[in-house]
Amino acid sequence: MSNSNHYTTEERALAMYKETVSPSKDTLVYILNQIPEIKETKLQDRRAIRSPYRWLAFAQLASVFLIALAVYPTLSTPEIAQNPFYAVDQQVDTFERTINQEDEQMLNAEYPL
Amino acid sequence: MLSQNPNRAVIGSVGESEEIRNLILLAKQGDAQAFGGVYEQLFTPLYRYVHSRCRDIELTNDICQQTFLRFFQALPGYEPEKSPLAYLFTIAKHLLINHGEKHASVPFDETLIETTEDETIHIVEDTHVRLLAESIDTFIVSLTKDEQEVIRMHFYGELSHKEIGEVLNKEEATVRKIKERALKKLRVLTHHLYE
Repeated sequence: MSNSNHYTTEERALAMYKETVSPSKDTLVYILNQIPEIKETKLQDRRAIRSPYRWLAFAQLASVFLIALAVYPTLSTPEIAQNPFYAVDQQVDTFERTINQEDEQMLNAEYPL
Repeated sequence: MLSQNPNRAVIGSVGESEEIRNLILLAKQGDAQAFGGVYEQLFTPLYRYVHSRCRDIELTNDICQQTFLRFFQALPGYEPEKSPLAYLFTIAKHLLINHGEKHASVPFDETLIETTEDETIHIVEDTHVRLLAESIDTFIVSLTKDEQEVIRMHFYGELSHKEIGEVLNKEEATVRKIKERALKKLRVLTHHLYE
């Protein structure tokens, strides 16, 4: 760094020009004063800094949960809970099965193989 | 008034220093004094870069203020492994774009870079460096947008090649190549000053 021969003329000129552009002390202090105290904003960190994507993810998860909550009962509830004639239907099914079996037995008896 | 120290060329990146990182960690924990320290060290490089781009003191102050405000607000989520300077400059770059910064681009004749000899200006007197320093900034607008960015960030903003790569989304080696080409172009553009 101390050896200027390592740098080209242009690099040295750019470095020299740079030093002519500096903010005034007043500007430095004024802008720093515009930045609020860390303690004040620290209390709001969670709200201020949290990414909006977290809310999006949270909202989507909540939606999925609510949909699942609404759909699950229709999938898992037994038929008996939904159909008020479940018992009657069962009796009819049993009766029909019995009739069919009797018919079959009678056919077998009348027309043996 | 130009600096009387032409030997002081590229200054090492302040953003990579351990001190800055430690200050940022303290600032993250709510230490206002530590944030003041970070601000004090990073403000001037940022100011020089922004001023070089917009050449308006009022706008420069405004952009620097907004940049630090955003930096401050994002501090709790900031990862100290990343360069604070690269982060600051990324914010400033976006703010400058949002302010509708106009580039007064002057096209560069690419054929000149092949025809101009470098040897004639290899070693020059300090007076020549000073002469060049007075006008070199006006030639930057003749470079491509990437070349301008690399030159400004490296020489005015004191960013390392790696940090510039972070801001511009380019490889470190690419940034070095862009810088070399930009310097060569500046040599061609300022060649007449030595004659």
